[in-house]
Amino acid sequence: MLGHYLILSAILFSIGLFGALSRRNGVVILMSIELMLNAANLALVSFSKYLVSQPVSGQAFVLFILVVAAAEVTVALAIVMEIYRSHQTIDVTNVDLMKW
Amino acid sequence: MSGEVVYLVFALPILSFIIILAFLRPLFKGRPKVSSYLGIALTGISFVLSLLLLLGVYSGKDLAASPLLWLNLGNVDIKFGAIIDGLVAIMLVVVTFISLLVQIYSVGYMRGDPAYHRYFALVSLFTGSMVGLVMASNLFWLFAFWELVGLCSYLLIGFWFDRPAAANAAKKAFIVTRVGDFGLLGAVILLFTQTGTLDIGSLHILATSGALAGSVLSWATIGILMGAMGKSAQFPLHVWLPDAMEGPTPVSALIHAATMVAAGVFLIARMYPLFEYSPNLKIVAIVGGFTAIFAATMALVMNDIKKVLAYSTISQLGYMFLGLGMGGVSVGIFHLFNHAFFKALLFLGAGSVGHATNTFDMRQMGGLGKKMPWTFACFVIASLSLAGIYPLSGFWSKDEIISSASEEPVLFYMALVTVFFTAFYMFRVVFMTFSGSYRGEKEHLHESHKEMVIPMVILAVLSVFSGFFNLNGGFAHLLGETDVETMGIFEVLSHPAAIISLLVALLGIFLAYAVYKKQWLSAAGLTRVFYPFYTLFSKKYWIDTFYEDILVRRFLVNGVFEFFSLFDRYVIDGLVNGAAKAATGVFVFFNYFDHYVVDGLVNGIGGAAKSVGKSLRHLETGQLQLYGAFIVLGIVVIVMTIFIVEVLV
Amino acid sequence: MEIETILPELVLAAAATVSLFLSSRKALWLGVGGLTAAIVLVTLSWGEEISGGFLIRDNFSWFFNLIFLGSALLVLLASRLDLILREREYPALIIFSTIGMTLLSSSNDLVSIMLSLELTSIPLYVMAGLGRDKKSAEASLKYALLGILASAVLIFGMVFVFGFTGETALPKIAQAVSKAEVNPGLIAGLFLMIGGFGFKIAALPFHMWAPDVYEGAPTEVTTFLSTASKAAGLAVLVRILSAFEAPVWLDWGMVLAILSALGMTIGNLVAIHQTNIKRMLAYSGIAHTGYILIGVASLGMDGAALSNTIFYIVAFALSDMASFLSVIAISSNIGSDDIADYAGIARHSPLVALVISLGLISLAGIPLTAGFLAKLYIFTGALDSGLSWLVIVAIINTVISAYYYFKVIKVMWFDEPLKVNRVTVSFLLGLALLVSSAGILVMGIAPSLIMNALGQISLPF
Repeated sequence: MLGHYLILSAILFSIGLFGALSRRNGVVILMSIELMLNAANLALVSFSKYLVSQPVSGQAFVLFILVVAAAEVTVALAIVMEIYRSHQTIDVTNVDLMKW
Repeated sequence: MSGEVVYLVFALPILSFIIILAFLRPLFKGRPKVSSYLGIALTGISFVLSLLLLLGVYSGKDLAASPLLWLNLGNVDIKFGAIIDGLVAIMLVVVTFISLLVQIYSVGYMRGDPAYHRYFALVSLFTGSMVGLVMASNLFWLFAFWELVGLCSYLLIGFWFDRPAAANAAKKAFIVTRVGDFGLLGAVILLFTQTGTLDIGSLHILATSGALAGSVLSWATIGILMGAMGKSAQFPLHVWLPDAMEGPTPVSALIHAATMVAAGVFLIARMYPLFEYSPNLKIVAIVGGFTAIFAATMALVMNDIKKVLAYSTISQLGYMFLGLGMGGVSVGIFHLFNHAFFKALLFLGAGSVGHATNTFDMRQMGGLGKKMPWTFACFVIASLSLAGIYPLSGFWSKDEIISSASEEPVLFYMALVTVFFTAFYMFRVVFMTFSGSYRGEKEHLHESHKEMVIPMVILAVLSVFSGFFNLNGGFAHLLGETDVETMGIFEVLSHPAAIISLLVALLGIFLAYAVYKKQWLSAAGLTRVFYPFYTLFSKKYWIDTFYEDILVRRFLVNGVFEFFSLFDRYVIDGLVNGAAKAATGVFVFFNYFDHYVVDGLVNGIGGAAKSVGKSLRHLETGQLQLYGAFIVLGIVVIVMTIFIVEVLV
Repeated sequence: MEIETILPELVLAAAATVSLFLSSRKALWLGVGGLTAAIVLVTLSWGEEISGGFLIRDNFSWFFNLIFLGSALLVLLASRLDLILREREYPALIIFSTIGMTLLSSSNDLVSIMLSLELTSIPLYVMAGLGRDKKSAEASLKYALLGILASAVLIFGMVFVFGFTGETALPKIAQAVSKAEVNPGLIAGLFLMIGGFGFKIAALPFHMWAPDVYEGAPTEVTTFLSTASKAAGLAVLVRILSAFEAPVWLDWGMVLAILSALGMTIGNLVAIHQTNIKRMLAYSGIAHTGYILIGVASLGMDGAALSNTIFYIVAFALSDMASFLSVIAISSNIGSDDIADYAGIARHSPLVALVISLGLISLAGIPLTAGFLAKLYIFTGALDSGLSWLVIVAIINTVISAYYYFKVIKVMWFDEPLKVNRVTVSFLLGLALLVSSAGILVMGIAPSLIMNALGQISLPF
């Protein structure tokens, strides 16, 4: 059973990753990264359930990850707002003033 | 007197540097002379102390300075300590003495320069670092001061940095000597890793006892030799020294006589036991013998008086290497000792002439002998000494080198031809500058200030007498050599090598006399006859061109750097561009997939194709998603590699 | 766990929170006071070892805390007044991030590592955008999105490590790892984590954000990023790796050695072509991360590697600090970050030019500066660990790097000034410049002062 959950988690992580690397909308990128974090959470919970002798630490870990993810997204959304104000777009591919 | 005095010899010039820079320069803006007085006073005390040390060593006193612990590297303590022996004492006297005279001379020469304070601060630092280099008991310190000497020469050669030529010359000196420095650094690291010590005394013991031998010793000495060749401007690293003339002339005197270029010769003398037990002593002699004649040929055709002197220095340094390689420490260092006085004098003389005429081009001079009698007299004495005329100082040391080279016929004849060239080019300078009639435009030529003349007179006296120091082997005894052939002041004239070299030198002077004084032979005619050689010499064998144009510009800048810039563009950015383009297939696929699964129904295949084009166009640097892709790709590659290497294999 | 364990953090948190309600100038002074108090507290705690649950306060963490607090204090002193006046939260953000760092270097558990890493990073994302222009906003966006991506990767790695060892506390993980057999899950977990920290310290190939963010962010923030933030990433990386010291089937030292070689080489080569000084220093920082990784790679093999690595980190932080603080001084006067515009600065402002030259010389590794000894220590340590090929690469790189450092020095001292621009330096900025350049010289001339302290640092497992 653990294997199934881990595979699901890996698939979710990969979908999130490819979303983060291919979508152009800043907000969608954030959502994709959320998906990656949730994949981590899923793996964490399943490890706690099936493999680990003391499940509490793993489940507590999940709660912390959720909190951290919320904080990250809040700040990142504010930054995307700031980008919209200065660049009039949230298409990250257009944010390339600095390169080389 | 205890040996710890040596730390004072080192500390005083450094102190002078700090005081001038920190206090005198900001506080005494309007009275620049204060700096020179301080520098002269402190260097003077240093000189007196080193003289006392020399007398102490000479009288056989046991002078040792206990080291100060500085740095603990692994199991090894690096101490800031000093060696006091004959070699160090002589070098200290030469360095502080020449520096003292140069500073006195500079009071006149640099009068009115806006950066007067900076000049004296740098000369003090230069002197201090050279003293540190000489007395260092540890290769680590030696290397640190070695670099500091290089830095000071960089700053002094580029002293008038608003002249592009000076800035370029400074850069050239710095870069070319660095090439040698890497050899030295390599040798230091090699010795440290192989022996665990950088203490010079211990290394000597290891080498003489045979514990340090074989390829390690061989490579270490080659590295040390590279460092010495860079600093002492030996072929093929000689190109920086002629350009270094762009600095103030007293600095040239300092560099050529006592500090910068003497460091290389000193280094080989310091590490001599290592060379003695390695197969590379012969290489030192060959490098020296070749450089001596090679540089002398270029000195034959230069029209800039300082350039002639510069090539002359390279050539004389070659002699010193030859002396070290064939004869021993005392042979090489004795020439360094004598050379310091007459070469410093020649530069101060050239500076005096240049100061009067505002040029260093000998074609714009002539007839200065009557206008500047003191300079003229001093310059002639120094030239005679350099040419090796009995009984001036140059004769004695050059004779020792040539007789020690007689074991190797090729080197011996090269040395003899060099004697001829030397005599010729020096008297070419003397006649072109001081005899005939004045060809320049400046009026009211007059003798230089007394601050400039007095140091020259002192050096002239020494150029006559310093050779007598070794009459009864005194100099060699001081350097710890016991079985020395001693020669009296008159017996030497029965020595065949001495007679031959004396005759060859006189022949050279005579030829110069015939061409440039009496004009029995026309210089232009000679040029025409020897046209191919003339071109070769005056173009400096195209070595500078080769380095600058082919090696630096074509190869490095257009080749290597261009390659890196392309590498940079196409592999770093381009790996992002290019490899990401290659990976675009994957991205495009997932992009497509994404669109198809999530909103493919809305956009359809056409929209997907459009976004493929956009992705292609947008897969450029500055794109944060590609940065992210690199993070992920990096991890994937690492983990895959580890799997393959550690798990599967 | 006693309250004293986190007393410095409590003081800092109080100062930062109160400063949010004060006017800009008062907030600045409160921040400076809080940081000074924390420095005093940390210095007094030197030698004590307190271990409690998520945190362990040992000499390792005390020393790194001093690096973070010192950097934060210098950056705060050196910050431009207009930035402070415009952004009232700026001192609080710096301090919150510093708290994250001090906790990060003391973390003894995956959970606390993750939490303090986020506490470090989130204020930095905001600070990168405080320039309030297009470039700054862009820097902030790039840093935030990539930083969050990197921490997602890091967390995924942590999950794997947790899953295959069953523990979140580092000492227990170390035990489990030493007993474990060859384990692909653990390998993947460790390297996902290395990827996450590699982002933080700008190690190749996780470095690509650094030039853009360094260029776009206000220089004060860039300074903080390249000194404190990098040191924090390295501190936690060293702690984590020491938990993975045991297994013979996993040679992470070699991986780090290769990353180090690539980082040095590519960082230096690209730096040669930069025209913007902040961007150049960013690539130089990538190269220096490479040098530091030499020390990290030899951690398992050489007893002195830990103190050598920390010495290098301090030397680099001081040199980079001196360089970037001078950039603040010069660029805010001439209004440009282009190296070409630095022409002839030394003619009118020799002191500032001297400080930045000293910083660059130290970065280049010239004797009598901290950078030289740092390289010497790291290189000799690596030779002892049998990494001679890496030392050769590093020496070649040192030569290459001298080129672009000296190019800047040459432009400042020898080129014709474009326009007469006297660089005026405020008293506080001058103080920060003085402290950092004095630090470079003291470390370069009397290294035993700091080496003795570093000798008292060891890792518990």
